[in-house]
Amino acid sequence: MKRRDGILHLGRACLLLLVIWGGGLITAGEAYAAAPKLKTIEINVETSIEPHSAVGLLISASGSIQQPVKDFRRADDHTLIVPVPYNEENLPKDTVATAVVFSEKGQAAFGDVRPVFSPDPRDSFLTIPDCAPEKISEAALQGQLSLLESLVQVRAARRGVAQVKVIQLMHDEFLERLKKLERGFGLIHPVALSPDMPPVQLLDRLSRLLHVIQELKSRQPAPAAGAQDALAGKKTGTKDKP
Amino acid sequence: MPGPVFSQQKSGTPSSKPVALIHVPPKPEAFPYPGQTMNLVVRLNNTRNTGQKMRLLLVKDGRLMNIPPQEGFLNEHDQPTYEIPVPAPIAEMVYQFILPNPDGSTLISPRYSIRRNCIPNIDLAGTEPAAEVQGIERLQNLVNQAKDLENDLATYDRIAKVLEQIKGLIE
Repeated sequence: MKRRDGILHLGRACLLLLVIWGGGLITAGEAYAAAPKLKTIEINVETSIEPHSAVGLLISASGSIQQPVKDFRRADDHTLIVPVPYNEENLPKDTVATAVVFSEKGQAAFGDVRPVFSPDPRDSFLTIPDCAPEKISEAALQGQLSLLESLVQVRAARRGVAQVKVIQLMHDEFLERLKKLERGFGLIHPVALSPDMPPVQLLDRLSRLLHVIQELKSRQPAPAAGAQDALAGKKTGTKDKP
Repeated sequence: MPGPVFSQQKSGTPSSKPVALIHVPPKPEAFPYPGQTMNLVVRLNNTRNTGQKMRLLLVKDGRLMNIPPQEGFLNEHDQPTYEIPVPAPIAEMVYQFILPNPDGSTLISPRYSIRRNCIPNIDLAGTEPAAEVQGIERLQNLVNQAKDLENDLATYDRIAKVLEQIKGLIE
């Protein structure tokens, strides 16, 4: 009898263990299902500061959320890639993401602003492939070698002239004024403005500056003191920032 | 690619039809070389009022860019039309049109996000052809080089124009 009872007790104990174990599994499964599905969006931060920490910001019309960022990587000397985690279920469709990187000394650099719910599935525009060169048919260029060589020479010479013109336009005094304007308007870049910059980058910087000045001119109220002084060519006393 | 997009609508007066913003976003393959100017065209339906300036909120290659408000004109169908010149992005642009109404309210378009399918070469073109390549490969290199030089030239020309414009505005 005692033996039979013992077996029964053992059986009940095993059943109880199974129930507890099974219950644990169900609870773990529920907890896993309930855990937020975190995705990440990669934000480029153009800066030359040595990064120490970073935070992500998710901004929408209904407010902003600060997201901790665990790791970030460098794409090149001036660009950091910061993956910002987000839970897509809780975010409004108009949410944009950005990131702020801090150095050990407390300097801050702000990242690009990207819509979280972009129709493009690629993480970052750094992942867009380079355009392949246009393919030409041999027949179309048969006997054109010397003409093409001349064309390259002519265009190279014309580009040289255009480069010299830009260097002359951006002479010392005017260049200093442009730099001061950039600082005055808060257009902070890791690399100082220079006619020797890659032309597309130089054009981007100058276009941004031009648009800010045009916007300022189009408004009647007095502009901010720093920008006004910069426009007037006065010394602003603004410290150079990285 | 979507056709004309009707944005959120807002009526000027309770009895009139609501004014709508109509914009066809450009296709990424139609983007000019980075930095060159392209026009974003938006027109209004159910109004002939061009008194309000159109604002554009533009994020170009991830950075917010100020675009001065633009005045409109009536097109051949008497629709108020705005052509807003913006520099073409290297990779992507996100933008939204904002039109202040005379009653103080604002008409805001949906947000448009356009990304290039591939990144054009923005490095300065070399001027010396590779001596070791011959035949079709040499021709191909020369054609690419000529194209890259043309882009460089157009960029420097644009830089010179922008510099002149800045000079004119600040002096």
